[in-house]
Amino acid sequence: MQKTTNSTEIINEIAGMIVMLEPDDIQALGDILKLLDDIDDSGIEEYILHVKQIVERLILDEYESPTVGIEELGTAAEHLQIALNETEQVSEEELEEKQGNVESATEEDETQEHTIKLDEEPPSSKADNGQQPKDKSKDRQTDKETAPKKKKKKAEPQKKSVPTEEVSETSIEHDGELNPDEDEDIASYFSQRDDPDLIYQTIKEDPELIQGFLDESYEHLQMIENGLIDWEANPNDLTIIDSIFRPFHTIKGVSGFLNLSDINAFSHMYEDILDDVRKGVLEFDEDLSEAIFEGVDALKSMVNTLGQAQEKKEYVQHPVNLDYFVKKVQSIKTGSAADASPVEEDLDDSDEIADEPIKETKASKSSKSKAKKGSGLGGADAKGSRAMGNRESSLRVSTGKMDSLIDLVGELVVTQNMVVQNEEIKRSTDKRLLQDVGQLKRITSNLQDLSMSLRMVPIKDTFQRMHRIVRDYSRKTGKKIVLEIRGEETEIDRNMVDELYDPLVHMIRNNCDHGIEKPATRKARGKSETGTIALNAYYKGGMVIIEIKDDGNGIDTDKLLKRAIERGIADEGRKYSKSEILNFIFASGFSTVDSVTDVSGRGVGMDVVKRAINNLRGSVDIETELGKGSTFTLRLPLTLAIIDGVLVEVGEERYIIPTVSIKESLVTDKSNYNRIAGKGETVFIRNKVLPLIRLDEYFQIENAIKEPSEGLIIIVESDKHEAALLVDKMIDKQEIVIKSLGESLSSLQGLAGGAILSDGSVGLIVDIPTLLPKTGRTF
Amino acid sequence: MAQKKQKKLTEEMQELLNEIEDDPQLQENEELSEEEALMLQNDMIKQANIEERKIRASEAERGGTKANPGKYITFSLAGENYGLYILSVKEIIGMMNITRVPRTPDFVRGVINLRGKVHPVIDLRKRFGLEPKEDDARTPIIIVEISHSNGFQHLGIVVDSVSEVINVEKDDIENTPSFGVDLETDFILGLAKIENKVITLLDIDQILTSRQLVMLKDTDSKKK
Repeated sequence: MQKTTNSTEIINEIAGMIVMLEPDDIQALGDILKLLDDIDDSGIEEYILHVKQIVERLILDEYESPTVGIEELGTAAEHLQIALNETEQVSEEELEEKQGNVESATEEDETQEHTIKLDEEPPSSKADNGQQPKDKSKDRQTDKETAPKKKKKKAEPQKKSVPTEEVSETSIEHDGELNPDEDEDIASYFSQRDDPDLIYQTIKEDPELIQGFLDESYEHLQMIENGLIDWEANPNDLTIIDSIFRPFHTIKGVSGFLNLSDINAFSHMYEDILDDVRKGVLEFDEDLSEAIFEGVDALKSMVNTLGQAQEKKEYVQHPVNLDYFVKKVQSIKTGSAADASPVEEDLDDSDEIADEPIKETKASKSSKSKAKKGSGLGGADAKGSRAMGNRESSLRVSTGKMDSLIDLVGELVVTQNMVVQNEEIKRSTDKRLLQDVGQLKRITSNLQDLSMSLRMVPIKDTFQRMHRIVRDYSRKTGKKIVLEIRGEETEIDRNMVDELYDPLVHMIRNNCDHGIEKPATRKARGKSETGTIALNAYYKGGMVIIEIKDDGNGIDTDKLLKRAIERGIADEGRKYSKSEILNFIFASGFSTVDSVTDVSGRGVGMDVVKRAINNLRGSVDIETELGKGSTFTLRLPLTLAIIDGVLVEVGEERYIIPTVSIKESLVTDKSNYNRIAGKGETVFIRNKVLPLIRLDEYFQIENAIKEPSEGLIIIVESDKHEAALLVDKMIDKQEIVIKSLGESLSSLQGLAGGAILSDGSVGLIVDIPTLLPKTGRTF
Repeated sequence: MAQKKQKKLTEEMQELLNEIEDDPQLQENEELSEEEALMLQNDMIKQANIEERKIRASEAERGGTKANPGKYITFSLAGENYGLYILSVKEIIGMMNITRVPRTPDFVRGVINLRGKVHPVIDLRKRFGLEPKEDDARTPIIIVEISHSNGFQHLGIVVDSVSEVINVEKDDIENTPSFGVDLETDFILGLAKIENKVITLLDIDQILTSRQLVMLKDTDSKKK
């Protein structure tokens, strides 16, 4: 309780500072951040994080106007205070009781309440946060606690009906609406309306899913529009219907999965119309096309609203009058006039039935939505509004195009190098020419850096997903754990993001499970009950470093060694250094916790992590102090596309050996060479007998140096196996961009790919791991 | 309208090509004429490609195993004429530095760097078991697109020389004669008789499927 009071004081201090805050006072903002770091309390990390994010945005001047930011900051700080007050006053048991109560209450009531709260939240009430109304705070807290449970309950059946895989399939399902009698009841699609709570949860917890949906939807809506325009030109071409039907279908599927009920039902409605056209029930004409365009606009407006909600991190009601569209679609389907008899008055009891299809709300108060106002969505106005929303901040480009761009820039660099190395130019004394060549060189190198950076994305998304892992874990086990994230702006190769996710999840779970102790244990050890896992990313020495640090138990090296000996991984008699012992964690089939939990010990161990990181050409290190905690450090290359390589010559051919695989290179004496009849050849280097691999024999290269003492020996290593590679000589060490050799040559043994050399020809990269095991294990 | 214009353009291009070939000055400067010829050839291919695509778009899907009428690009190999369907040909490039790739069958010449992308190159003479011929500065590489299970891939094939783009009508096509059991005829779509010349129409996917490359490589390495 002592801490909590401290936290209250800190927060009060922060609140005071916010009241006095001047928009451009970065010093004060920094102080607030520092103070926020001092708050040490469980249960409110999310609120603290939220406040921090706002402060950071203020510092970076990301708000349209600083006053908006300060207002938001005030509200966030108020929430924080309320939340803190709550943890102070209500013990966990009481909380659980409350949860039960709220859950038994009718959902409609709660939803309603929440909506109002969100809409009416006065952002300016920052001054009176000293004494907040008690009941309100409790509501908020319980809301927060129960919401995820509710989400699970509701989300599961929907997940079953529209699994994500299905969405991506090209085959189109009809969802049982083949019976035309059922078609009439379009209004029933809307039986489940948007649940602000659920959407808010999704926005908060799965921002990347929402973002994906947004991006995709804009693309799909564009496809629909293009298709419609196509179709208008060729009304008899039924194949075009598919290109319109499919995007609607996908939007329907994904929105259902994300609990976006309105968008889901809406797209379903139009999918129906198109299905009818396909079946010949409806005929395509200008009116129908216009109606679909209108629907697309409404759908776009809903998606736009979702985008706003995503930005504001709160639920925003979309301005579309669904009744209007239901009526319209119904009239299309029955073939009667547009002003057909009204249907289902109670479809949406909170919304008034208005004449205009898209209502104007506070959220969408822009000139664009003003243009949409009024019933005439058709005509010139609508055409104008069909243009994409204001999403100019980023651009989606196909990876194929981007790769081609990067390839071409690579070529430009090669060509530029050749120009610079040209003897004529080298001899030239023309000042102007030399200047221009220098300029060309600079621009090319800038262009190369830029094109490389196109592959990079911030690690933020990957890190953010870890919050969920930690939260789920601590819910399940009752351990109190905070995840602190730093350096999330650090950028890594786009292709690495997916590869990194699993190892990170595994390590975080490991830290939660094996590292952080139970609250009672922690208290007994004089630590805070809440354990901290710090996830940190930064650049160092041309590498990306990711640190996962916990303040838990640490690793007991004695126990570890004992276990390693039991498993036959370690020799009993030998003395091992601490780091050697720690490395046993990465041996396959190794686990120090006796019981296999469903959290981390699922048959996959740290060996999988190690392998995954190695595949990314990275490494893992462990530091640990018993009782204090451990740190796992991942070292990863900035990009997967570039490696350091050594160019070697064998005969008349050149090959590239990745520098990571090379231990050393040397010239050896004849006496160290040995031939074992029927087994192979060895060289004796530094008290070790290493198998000799002749690259010229392996690759059938002619005219290479045969005598080991005359050539160069390169000691290569992979996965603890070492071997001596015989080449003629080393030419150069350079950074190279890895290129695929294409599908038909991808399964070639001994080669990892190709690279464009400085003279424009292709060099082949030797795949050391496949070269080694065959001979490496026999010795 | 557009077709007329295209036809006119093609004719003009052909004229230009003839002019260039006849121009004594250009013939003296061999390097330039090669580049020019290549460029013109590629323009021709592009043109024919567009035309063919337009025609095909309105027709049903082409059958894969039989020769279909349409535009073909012809090339010669050991005195014989062969045709490749225009839509599978991407471009024609001059001979360049080929990096040998070890552990591949002998008809795989290696890999080249074409505008920053690495493409395998196949020697069609060796693939067909014909006598090898020394490359010269005029030896062309035809870049073709082949399909495999994971999509498409570009591949270079070395031939003796590229001739022209021809239009094969339905009546020109004769079915593949049977040569007996031993001869591999899978990759022959059919024979076309045009102006007393017999042109063997090839199915590029059959000649160079990745499956074959890998399988041949496997048997190759097993032998060793």
